[in-house]
Formats: sequence, C-alpha cells, structure tokens
Amino acid sequence: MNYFLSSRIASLVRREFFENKTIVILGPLFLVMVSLIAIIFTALFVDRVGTFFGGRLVGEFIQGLDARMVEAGGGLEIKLSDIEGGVISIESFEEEKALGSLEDISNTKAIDNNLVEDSFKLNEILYYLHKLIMLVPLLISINYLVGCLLYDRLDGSYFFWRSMPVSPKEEITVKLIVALFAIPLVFGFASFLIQILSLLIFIFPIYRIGLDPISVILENLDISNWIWFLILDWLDRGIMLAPIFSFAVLISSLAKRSGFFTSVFAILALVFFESVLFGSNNFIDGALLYLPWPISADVRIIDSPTLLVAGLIITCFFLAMAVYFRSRPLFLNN
Amino acid sequence: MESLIRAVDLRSMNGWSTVLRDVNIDIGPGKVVGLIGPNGSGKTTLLKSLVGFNKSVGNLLVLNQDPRLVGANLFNDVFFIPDSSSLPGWMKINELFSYLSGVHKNFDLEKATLLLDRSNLDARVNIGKLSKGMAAQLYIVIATAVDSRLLILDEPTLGLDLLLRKKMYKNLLQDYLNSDRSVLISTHEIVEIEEFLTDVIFINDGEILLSSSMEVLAKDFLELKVDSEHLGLAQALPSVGSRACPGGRQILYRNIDRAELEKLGEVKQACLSDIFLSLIAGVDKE
Repeated sequence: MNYFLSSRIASLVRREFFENKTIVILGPLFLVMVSLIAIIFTALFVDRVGTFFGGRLVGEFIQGLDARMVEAGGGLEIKLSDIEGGVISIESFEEEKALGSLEDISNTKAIDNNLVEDSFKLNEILYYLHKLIMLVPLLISINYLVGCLLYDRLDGSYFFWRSMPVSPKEEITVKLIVALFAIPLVFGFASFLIQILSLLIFIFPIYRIGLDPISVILENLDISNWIWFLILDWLDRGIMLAPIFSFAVLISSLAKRSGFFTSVFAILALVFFESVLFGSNNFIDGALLYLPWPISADVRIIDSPTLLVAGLIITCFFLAMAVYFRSRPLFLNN
Repeated sequence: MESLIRAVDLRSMNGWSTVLRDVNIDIGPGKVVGLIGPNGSGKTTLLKSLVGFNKSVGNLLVLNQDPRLVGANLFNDVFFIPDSSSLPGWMKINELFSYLSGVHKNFDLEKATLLLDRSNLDARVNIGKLSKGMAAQLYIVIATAVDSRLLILDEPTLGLDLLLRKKMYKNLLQDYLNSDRSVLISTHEIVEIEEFLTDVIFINDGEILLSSSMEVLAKDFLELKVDSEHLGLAQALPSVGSRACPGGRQILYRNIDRAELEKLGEVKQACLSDIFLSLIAGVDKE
C-alpha cells in the first residue's frame, strides 16, 4: 500500500516532468551554460564589470585580497588593473606609495576594508549569486502554473486526465509541490553547480594576484553555512511563494485561452477595484511580502509566523477554489 | 443479479436545454452493451453522466456507488476514456504507460507492452504524432490492459478502416471480457459490432428508445420478405418499418407471432441496423 502510494506520487510528479521536460531539464543546463560564460567574463574583467552579475561584490573581494596582500607583503609589489585601457598591468611601488595609493582606492569605494576583514566574504557573493539565479525558476514556475490546468482543456485531453483515479485535489497539490519545491530543487542544483564553477574559475584572478587560491577560498568560505543556506533558502522560498503560486493555479483553472493574460487581467482588476473602492494598495503590498529578493525585501518567511500563517490560509483558499473549478470547468474546448 | 450500472430516471441539463431525459438502464456483469444512436443523440453525454463528468439528476449507481459522490476513486474499477483524440498528444507512449502503471492499480504494464508489440506501435513515439488509426489502436491497448470491472468506450474505432475495426473489437473482447466484467461501447458502426454484443441500447434525442438483450431483440423483431401476392395481408399486420427489395418488400415486425408471419413469406431475424433505423424513423414520424 505504502509502496503504491509512493510510486503513485512519484508517477504524478514524473508526469509533470514529462510534460515540462524542456524547461525543467534543458532550462537548468542552459542556465549553467549562460552563467558559466558570465562568470568567465566576470573573472576576466573582474574590476570593470560594474554591478553586472555580482561583479561589484566580486571586484571588491578581489581588490580586497589585493589590498590585504599589500598590507601583508610590505609593499614590495602590487597588482592593479588599468581601468582605462583594459589591460592588466603590473606596477611596483615603494611601501609608502603603495599604502598611499591604497587610500586613494578606498576613497573611491573600490575597496571596502570591512569586506577584507569579513572572513566569509565568499558566502555573501554566493548568497546573492544564488538569489539572482533563483529568479529563473520563479519565472518558470509561474509560467508553468498559469498553464497547468489550462492546456489539457485546450488540447482536449481534459477528460483523459479526469478519467484517471486521481482526484483534482491530488492533481493540483502535486502541481503546486512541483512548482514550489521540485522545479526550484532542480534549479537549486544548477545554482550549486554554477557556484562551484564560479569558485573554480575565480582561482585564476586570485592566483593572478599572487595568492594561494585554495587557502583564500577556504579562508573566505564557510562551507557548512553555505550548504545550510542553500537548503534553508529552498524551503523558505517554497513556503514563501505558496500564496502567489496557488493564485497562479487558480488563474489556470479559470483561464479560457491564455493563463498569462488572465492573470494580468485579474491582478489589474483587483488593484483597480481596491484603489477605487477603498483607496488602498493592500493587494500589491501583501503580494510583495510573499515574493523573494530582489523583487521584494530580503527577509525569510519562516522568521515571521504571522505572514506564514496568513500565507498558508490564503494558499488553502486559492487551492480550494482551483479544485472546485477543476472539477467544474467554466471553459472546455471539447 | 448485481448491476454494474443502474440508472433510474436519469436526467441531464445543459443550460436550459435537456440533453438526457428519464434514462433507465441496467447493465449486469458479463455483458457487451452497444450504445447506438445518431450524431448528437446524447451518447457521449450519457457516458459522461454515468461516470459523473456531467451534472445529472436521478438515481445512478455504478458498481454500487454514486459516481457524482465517489469522485476519482471510481476510476480504479471503471475505465473510461472519452475517445482516442483525448489522449495527451505531448506524451510518449512509454511515458503514458509509466504514468498509468503508477497511478492505476489495475493497469497491467506487461500486458500493455505485449499488446503494444502486437500492434506494431513504437513506444518512443509522441502520441500527438500518431495517425488517427494508430491512436485508436493505442486507445484499445490501454483499455484492454486495465483490469477494470467496467469498461466504457466512446467511439473507440473512430478513424479505423473496416478490417482494423473488426480486428480490434475481436481482440478487445477476447482479451478483456469475462463473466465479471462488462463493456459499454458507444458507436455508429452497428453492422461490425452486432455480432459481439449481448445487449443494445438505442438512444435518440436524449431519450432511450430501446434497451434490450440481443436474445430478446431476436425474438421480438422479425423481418418478413413478402411477395406482391401476400403484401396486402402483410401490410395489414402492425409493422414498425418496411422497404422495397428484389421480388417484393421486407417488412419489420415487433412482437408478432413467428408462425403467423411464416404463412406469408420468408421470415428471418431482423438485423440491428434495420431495427435501429425503423425505431428512429418511428420517432421522427411522431
């Protein structure tokens, strides 16, 4: 019985992966490739990439290492990039001059001494890198959810799925779990891989400034904290997004032709009526609380019990409505 | 005898129009029931109502459960696929089998694989790329591989040529049917299915015109081939239909003593299509 139940749930999840294999399997691969190119680009032009792809943080980190080396090495030699020409040049300084030039750089905020003192600077870089990467599965999951109860009504397979011994409640719960946890898990692994690759690639610029890359990385990275963050972020993100995602499922059960346009219409209608009737923006403000950084504030939902409980209640309400409209569809193409 | 399907005064509405009127049917185990009716007669509506997909009122029990209340659990023992075009086109056949073996406790993967090999379908092909005939074959493979007590098929051979249709019905009934199970098949193809049926239901305009076993039908409906000499006497008897034939007319009778007809000409068992046409024509006249 338990075996059948687990194989049944696995089959339902597998079915979702079969249907969305392009985005769930090729998506992360594509993301890894694009990120790899971006990381190599960042590593090569680490001090000139501005804020692109964590470039500022990375640049500060590398230049921080540079500054530390100057402090430790007695100013025999320092390597800085030529900002104008784009060619990395090596200049020699006397101790005093070198320290003087360092001050100049810190004035322009190129070096943040706090960052140098922070022994786990790489965790911060990887944290923001991961958060940025995880925007991709967020968009993919929303796109998947707004269509998940619509496409079978459009292609005529609705009654086939209904004639399986799977209740709408089970069907919708599995779809939501896939979007909240399974898709982010796949992309989370991709993000983990990207982070490892980025660490490997950043061996080069660290080595270039004359430091031992392995010891620098180990000095600046708390591995257990890094892994723990990835797991916690995955769970927190899943719980945080539940109300938004269940709204997308509801939209999917109501949509006639396009889940995207129906959701845009529904959101605009809700915002409009709220502002006209009550003169407030609670819907948007409330929705933002359940969206992750950088769309919203960088907070964890599990740290706020009120938000957590309210989110779960909203999720249950939207899901109950979605189950109702799944059983009694308003629009059916066959 | 236990009924697999029992509907009493079942009605279904679509908006303001009634699509099923006072349907009464009773299907026991070990039956192959043909649901026969012209296009738009309410066949699919009836089938969907029987599994709870359509709203309906009236008494309805399928395997002693009300499908409107029991929900998806019903489909562990009742297998219903509306038609072959409802199979998910994006899925590969082997993915579909994998899904079915996971969610359907009565799906026999080995049997399905064996039947698939027999039908020469490639398991790695997307269902959407199959021709109509191939999709219909797959539909039958799935239906046969599910060990359910009640199999409900809606136009299962749509898109197949005559030979394949015959073969398919033969295989389906040979592989599926036993004394505990029943099959309810809706179709237009009366001639091909006639030999496999144990019972028949005629439906027109949402109403059941006739629900009977083939045995009773054979006794009740007789066809008389009569020459011009006895035509007057034959026409004097209450008939349900007649048509011209070489050397005279063929007249269809219901509930007339066979011995009485034999005095007038050659009497034989009426074929299902003639009975169906005569009943439909009778309704149309009214």
